Amino acid sequence: MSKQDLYNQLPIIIRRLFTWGLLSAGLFLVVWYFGGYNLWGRFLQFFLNIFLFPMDIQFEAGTSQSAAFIYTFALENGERGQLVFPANMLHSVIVEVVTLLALWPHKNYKLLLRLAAWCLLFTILYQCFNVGIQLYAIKIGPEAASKYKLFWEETWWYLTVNKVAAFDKFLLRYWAGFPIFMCALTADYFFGKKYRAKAVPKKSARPKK
Amino acid sequence: MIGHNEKGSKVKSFIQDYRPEIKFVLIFSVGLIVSFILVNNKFVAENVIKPITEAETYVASVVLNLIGFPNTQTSIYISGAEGNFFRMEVRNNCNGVYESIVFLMAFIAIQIPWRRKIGWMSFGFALFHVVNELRLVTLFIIGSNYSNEAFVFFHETFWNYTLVIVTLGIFIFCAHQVSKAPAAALAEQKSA
Repeated sequence: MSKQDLYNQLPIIIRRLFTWGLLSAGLFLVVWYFGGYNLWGRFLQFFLNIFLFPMDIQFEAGTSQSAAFIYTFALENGERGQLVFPANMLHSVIVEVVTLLALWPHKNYKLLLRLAAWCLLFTILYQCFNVGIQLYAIKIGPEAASKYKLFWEETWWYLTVNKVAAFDKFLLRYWAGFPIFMCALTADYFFGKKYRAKAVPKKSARPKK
Repeated sequence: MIGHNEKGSKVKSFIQDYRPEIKFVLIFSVGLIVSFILVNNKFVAENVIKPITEAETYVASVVLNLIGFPNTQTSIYISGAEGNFFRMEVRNNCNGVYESIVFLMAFIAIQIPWRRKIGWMSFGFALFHVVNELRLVTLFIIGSNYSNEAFVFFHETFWNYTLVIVTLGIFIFCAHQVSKAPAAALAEQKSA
């Protein structure tokens, strides 16, 4: 779809935002709160173990309040520490992506599915970063040090990680669906083959009996 | 597989075709990072963000008193009165400052003359804070009357999503107004 076509369809997009967008987001949230977070948590754990392999992060299923990613790490004194990241935090990004996919005008379902696949990839990548940076920032921060009675001093590394984690916590976590969708569109533009819809054969007149 | 030359020309045509959009993304991203660093600064947090949060808390408290939910406000806390033991803290993410930054940066980055976008920007900003006050008021009511699960759902899911939808709706509407302008100018030229 050309850029001008897309701009011409903006009134339709606004309408779709409050119809298909809201409907799909509502359906997604129903699935999410009826156990979807447990499925997604297990699914994401597989990728966390691949992309963040130096960190031992396991998913623990539970209710929407208790389901969490548990990060276990070795302490300087030989004991083991554990930090928790609630899994329910992850839905805001997914619901944005679902809304954007629902309102995006598409020529056919093959193109939409391809875009959805790109969205899935970037969502997984972002959420691995999200879980990893938040847990790591707590691990090297003063909170974990006081919890496990360890010596702690402020370093430039901690300050940098803490700033990135704060940016993620206050802004990205709530709005990352938009950059994810944008990355998916860009990737689709560069790597996707242009899909040509097959010409629909003309209906031949029914032979008279 | 995409050949080297084909890939190069694809990048070139992408930059040519989407120049305003790339410009928008760059201005928006840089603006967002700079504003975040500014807001996250201790001095700004104490002298600008905290008074804004207190003002938001005050307005929510007044509205709650008016609609029959007696409460007292101290700094960034709203505490229920007359048998209501619920206490709510308005934190950094609930004062609407970060959401406002995202909203304002999107308007600053969009390529429209200032005289056209300033009206939309102000309208959106005001609407945003009205919605945010509504969020604080309803969260206090839900926290006072319903379970903790209900409060968490409305706090973390419902209102976050509502703010996103409101922002997106206003922004697409504005983008539509902008896209109409060149078409109108072209039509005028043709008729002349």
